Order: sequence, then C-alpha cells, then structure tokens
Amino acid sequence: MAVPAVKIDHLTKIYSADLGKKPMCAVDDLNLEVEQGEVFAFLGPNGAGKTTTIKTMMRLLFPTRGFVEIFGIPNLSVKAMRSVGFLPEQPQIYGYLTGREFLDFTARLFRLDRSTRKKRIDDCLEQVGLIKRADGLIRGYSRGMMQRLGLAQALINDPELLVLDEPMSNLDPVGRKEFRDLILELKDKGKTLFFSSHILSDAEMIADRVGIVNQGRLVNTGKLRDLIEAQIRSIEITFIMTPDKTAKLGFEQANIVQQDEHMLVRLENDADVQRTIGDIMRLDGRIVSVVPQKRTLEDIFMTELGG
Amino acid sequence: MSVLTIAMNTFRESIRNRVMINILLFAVGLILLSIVLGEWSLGEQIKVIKDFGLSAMSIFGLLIAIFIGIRLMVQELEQRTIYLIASKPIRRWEIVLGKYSGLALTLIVNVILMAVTLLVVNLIIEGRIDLGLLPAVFLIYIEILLIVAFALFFSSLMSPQLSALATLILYMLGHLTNFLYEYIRVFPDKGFHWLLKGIYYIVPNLEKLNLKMAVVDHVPQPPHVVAWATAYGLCYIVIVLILTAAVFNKKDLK
Amino acid sequence: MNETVQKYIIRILFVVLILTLCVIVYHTQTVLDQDREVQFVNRSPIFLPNAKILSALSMGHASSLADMFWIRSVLYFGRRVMDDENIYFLYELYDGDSEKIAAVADHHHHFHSHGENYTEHSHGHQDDVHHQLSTEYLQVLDSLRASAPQPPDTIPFLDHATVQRLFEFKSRGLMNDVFPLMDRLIRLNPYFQIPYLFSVYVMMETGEIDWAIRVLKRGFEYNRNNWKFPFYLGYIYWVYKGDIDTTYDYLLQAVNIPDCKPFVGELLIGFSGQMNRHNVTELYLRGLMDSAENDQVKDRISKLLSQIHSEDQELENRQDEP
Repeated sequence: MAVPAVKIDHLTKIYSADLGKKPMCAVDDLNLEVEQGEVFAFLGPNGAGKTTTIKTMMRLLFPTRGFVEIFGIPNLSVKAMRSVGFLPEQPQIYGYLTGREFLDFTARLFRLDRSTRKKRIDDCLEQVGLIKRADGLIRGYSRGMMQRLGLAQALINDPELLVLDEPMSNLDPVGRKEFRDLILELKDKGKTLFFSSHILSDAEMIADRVGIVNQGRLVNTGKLRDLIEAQIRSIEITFIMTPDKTAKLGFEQANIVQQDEHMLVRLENDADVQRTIGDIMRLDGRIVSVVPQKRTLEDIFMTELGG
Repeated sequence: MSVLTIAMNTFRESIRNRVMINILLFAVGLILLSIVLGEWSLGEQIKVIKDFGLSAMSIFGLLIAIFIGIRLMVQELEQRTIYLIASKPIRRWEIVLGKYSGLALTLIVNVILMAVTLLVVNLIIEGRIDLGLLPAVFLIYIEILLIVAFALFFSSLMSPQLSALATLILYMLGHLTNFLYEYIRVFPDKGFHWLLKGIYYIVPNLEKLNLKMAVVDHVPQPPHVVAWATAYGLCYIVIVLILTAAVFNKKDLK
Repeated sequence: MNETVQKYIIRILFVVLILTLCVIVYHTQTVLDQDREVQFVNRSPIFLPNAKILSALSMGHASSLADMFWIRSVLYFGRRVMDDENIYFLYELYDGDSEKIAAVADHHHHFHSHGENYTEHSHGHQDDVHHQLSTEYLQVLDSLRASAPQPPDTIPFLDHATVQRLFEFKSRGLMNDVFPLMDRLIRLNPYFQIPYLFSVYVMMETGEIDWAIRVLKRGFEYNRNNWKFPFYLGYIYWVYKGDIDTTYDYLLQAVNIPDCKPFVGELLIGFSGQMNRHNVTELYLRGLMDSAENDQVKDRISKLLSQIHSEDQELENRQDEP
C-alpha cells in the first residue's frame, strides 16, 4: 500500500505560557492520515485548531509533541516541501511586487529553471484567472485577486499535495464555482488535496472524506457517504388549512408550526405520512410541499460538537 | 541559491521603499549642505565637508539600518507574508541570511551613492579627489552592517519599536564602551566592575570602526588598522547572524 | 513573545535608561566640578559640558561636532576678533583664501591710515615688533570703541558692571566666551589645527602668553607635521620670553618639517649667526612679507620694515654723535 500523503501522528501543540496567561492547548493528540489522490476536508468551527494543525504541517509552527510526515518524509526536512503547495488563510503578499514577479520569486524558491518558470507562471495565472492583472502591483489587488494569486503560487511547483487553509473564504460565488472546478480538475490529475473550512457546503460538494475537529481534538472522520446516512430521517409536510380543521387532524398543538396560513408538520414514518396526506385532502386542505429531511453534515456537526 | 533569491527580493523591496529613498535623498542633501557650512568655517571648508559628509554617511546609514532592517523583518512577520516563504523548501537560516545579504546589498548601494556625492563635492571644492577617505567609508559600511545584523537579531525577538530602541541603545553603547573602559581603568574598583567589563566585552566597540577623524585630519594610524577593524566587525556580524538564525530556527510563526 | 513580556521589557528598559541617565548626570556634575584646572577659564557665560562628555555624546562624530563648534565660534566671535585687526590672524587667513580676506581688509582700510605713527618706541626692547603691532591694534580698538553703541544707564535685572562689560568692545572681553569653545574644540578633535592657532593669536593679543604656550605645545604634540606649531612656539619664546635657546630649538624643529616656509630657515640662520635682534626682526618681517600673497598685507609689513629701518638709522646717527 502506498504511503499516505499526509500522516499526522499524536500531534500536540501547546502555545507556551506567557506572563499572566495560561498555556493554551491548540491541538490535542491529533492523529490523521490522508491517502494519496484523496480530497480531504478538515472541518470545524473557528478556533478549533484547524489552522494550527495546518501551520504545523507546513512547519511554520513546531509541534510540542508528535510529528507530521508528507509522503513518508518528516515535514521538517526541506525535501518534504518540494512536492507541496500551500495557500494560507487570507494570504498576504508583498505589495511592492507584481503578480508575475511574485510567482517568479516563488518559482525560484523551488529552484525551477528559467524556461520551466516561464511556462509554470503562465499556466498558473491562466488556471486561477489572473492573467490580465498579472503585471499590476499586488498592492492594488482585491482580496479575491489576492486569494487567486495565493492559489497560483501554491500551484507553481505542480505539487502532488495541495494544502489549502480556508480557500473559499474570500471568494465570490463565481470564484467559488471556479475554485471547485479547479479542485476537481486537480483531483482528476491524481493530486491529493487537503483543505480546511468552516463552511460545510464547500466540503459537501467536493470532499471525499472529512475530518471534524473541535477544541483541538479530531472528533470524527470518515467517508462522506458513511457520515451522511442515506436514510430519510423525517418528512415535512406543508399545507394550507384553517386552524379549526387542522385541529381535527389529531396532532398535538405543539407539533404543528403555523406560519401565516401555512401549516407545517414533521412526521417520522411513512404510514403517518400517508394517513396525514389523506386526512388533509379529505378536509379540503391544500398540500404545498412534502420534503424528506436527510441527515446533513450540518447535523453531524451539530450532534458531534454539541452532544 | 535560495539565499540569493531572498537577497535579490529584499534588495528589490528596499529600493522600491519610499522611506529609504527619502533617507538617501536627505543624506545627499546634507552632504551638499556641508558646502554652505564649510563656507562659514573660515578656510576650513574642505575639512568641514569631509567631516560632515562622513558623519552623514554614518548617521543616515544607521537610520536606513534601523528603518529598513527592522521594518523588513517585522513586516514579514506581522503581515504574515513569511508564511508563503517559510513553507517553501527553504531552511530558516537561508531566510535570515538571504534577508541580511539583501540588506547588505542595499546598504552598499546607499554607501556608494553617498560616497560618490561626497567625492564629487570634494572634487568641485578642493579640485582633487581625496581617496584617503575611502578606508573610513569602508569601515562606516562595516559599522552599518554590524548595526543591521543587530537590528535583525532584535526584530526576530521583539516588537519593532522595541527593536528600534534596542538597536539605538546598542549604537550608543557601542560608541561609549571606550569611555567605559577608561572608567574601569581610571577609577578604583567599586564592586560592579565585573558588570562594566561584561558590557565592554559584549557590546561591540564601534569606535574601533571609526576612522572618520583619522582620515580627514591625516592622523597616522597603526599598520593594518583597517584589516583588523574589518576582521573585528565581520566576526561580530557572523556571531550575531548565527544567533539570529538560531532564534529564527526555533521560532513559531504565529 | 507576547505583549505582556514586551511591556515588562519596555518598563525595565526605561528604568535602566533613567538610571543610566541619572548616573550620567551625576558623573557630569562631578567631572565638571573637578575638572576645572585643565580649562582655560573658570567662569564662562556659555554653558558647555566637559569635552570628554561632549565626545561621548557625539557617538563617534566628535570631528563633526568640533567643526560645528568651530563654525559657531567663527560666526559669533571670529568676526569680532577679526575686526580687531589682528595681524597674525590676517596673515593666517591670507595664506588660505585671499578673496575673503580682501573683503575684511577693505573693512580695515578705513583704520589703516591712523596706524602710521608709532610713538612709544624703546630701541633694543625685546618685543619691539609685537609692541608696534599692539600699538596699532590699540588704536584700532580705540576707534572701534568710539564708534560702538553707548551703553544705557540702566538695564533692568543687570547690574552696572555687567552692562558696562556687555558694551565693552575689546578682545579681552570676548575671551571668556571664546576660550571655553576653543577648549572643547581642541579636546574633541586634537587634530583640528586651526582652533589652536586661533586661540594662540587671540592669546598673544590679550597677553595670556603662558596659556598660548600650553595650547601650542598640545597642538604640536598631536600635529607633528605642521611647522606653524614649533614656529609660533619659537616666536613666542623669542618675543615674549626672550628665551633665545628655546626659540632656536623650536625653529630647528620647524625647519625639519616639510612645507616649512623658507623664512623660518633664514630666521634660524639669523639666530645661529648671533645677529643682533633688530636684524632678526627684519628677517622675520621680510619672510612674513615674502610669503604673504596679499598686497595690502605686504604694504603694511613693508611700512613696518621702513619704520624699523629709519629708527635704526636714527639710532646709528645717535650712536655716531658722541
């Protein structure tokens, strides 16, 4: 079996105690493996330890305990970083350079030769849709453009593993769509993607597998299909009927939600649904919608973190 | 290779920096102003121009060292642009050395520009170029390099304001240690001389890199004084850079 | 490192800074109190810290600081001392920049016509040259004093003596102001030559000969390559002290320095040839005249020479009579 693209082993990061402050444990004994070719979403609310974990992976921070391996190589060695592209959260880039100059600078750090540099810069600019503004000073870039340039520099070395911290946060809806397409394209090329997000819909659409982290601990991890149960948990029926007729349906008042003339009732099993629809029709009510309620990532999030 | 890349980028950053251009213009202006001051000095114009020119180089070199040296490092850390560098296949010490080399390159360009201004003024007023000033200019450069190394060291440890203050104090102490030494020699031991001696040997003796008076007034110097002073300065620089790299190597880039 | 640590460090640094400043203040005071004997004057109307402290404060820019003091001295006092028609100083300036001196000399021209009749001449007196010069100088001073603004009877806050002193127009009154500056200057940068010479010219005028010798000796100690230091030392020992042996020693040192003017050599030959003093004086003035580049100075020296010459003739005639 191939080595995992990322292996995080008993990672613990405690920010040392400064004067008058308690030591803060940002990541607590976190174990995680990401297979090659996988799109892995690292999810959790703000302050859960996502960024700390990613920064430790990228050796911006040093672990208190534990270690990280990238394709089987300890991440503290320079070699491990050759095949990695990294986009930090809200990237900040030298304002005094143009986009192209900055990409050239990063390409040089990967020791690409002149012709490769030129080709890669153009390719990356094209990929993130920044080719038109490439020769403008970064000082004049919007947040979205900065995000795109950040992505371009992460792609400059044609990395096998792409680590992205909150990649969608500064993008507009069109940007998000383009970004999702790009990730799927990279996935098709066999790249491994590791990205963090606090927005669940991002992950739902593109991730193969998710890890949920809270208060520095990995709470749950698994295939999306495993986590999101296919079964229907409940069905919501919305209908229009007078309140006195609604009372004849035989539900307790508390189970019926009234919004203007709309009535809403949530039912747990099929038999009840069939019976209720029949009753409503009989009483001259009008059915507006019947919606099956699935267990979503959101729900998982809520149960895992709350419960 | 990575060091060179970082160095060239640092150089590009500083020459695109308005603060530095302003400081440089001011220095050149002051050298030109010394012509006027020299006019008032009754026949000592050339001496005044040389003295003031060399002093301007040293003082504005210090300012550039403090403003640019500390700014570069602190900006990198505070604005988090460092994330994009440190996550590349590059060692931390390569970043430190690259930054430092870039600054050294920036400063040598500055020093050369100021020196050329001074020599041109010298040529216009005196009718000849006094190449005897060059050893002093060279040692001014070494002094500035040493200050920048300390500025980088401090700014890898503390906030920019604190770093600037520490660098300034170091500059002052560096010029005062001679007096400290004299004090230790002249006054009987009052019990705290170990402290003064400690300061004397830890703080670089910047007066050893000061040949300004010597070259302008043609004071005979012991042989190889420039070589010894250069060796002294360079050793100090290497020590400070190693310490900076060591601090930076273990630094969490929060 | 977080903000709290920084705050602590800033506080500690400030405490250290303040304590250091306290030590410096204390030390300044102590040194100022003790170091009097090496200074030119005890009481100065201008406050200036001790030269050593200035040097420390200059942070390696002592030479530039000395230049600033020099410019300040020139701007505040130099002009007035120059106005006092100081022949030594004029000569010094002539050697440097003739255009500037021409302007000064023009200014002096007005007084020049008065300076021709040298009265109280005692022949064979050892300082006849100096005497002649200072007589002329006193006359200039008199006329300057006459043209100076008159002091008001009273000025609030100031006693009568101070008012008088403020309006007194003569070099001696300036010395209290000039010397502290010169003192700092030559200590800040002992290789800066003109302040020594400037001080010495002024001291020769005001008669502070022992100080002039001390200043010249210190200057010579640091500047072995300038013939003017041994030359003026020799000159002072000759004119003011009558010490021919010492004069001879110093002139010998002067001629051994490259760039030394030829007249110093002639003067030395004069002394070694046991010439009588008047001839040596003549030799000195001739040398002074030859090396001067300005015609007005030459004129004045030649007038002095002819004066001496006619007095010599008179003396010879008188000696012939009996």
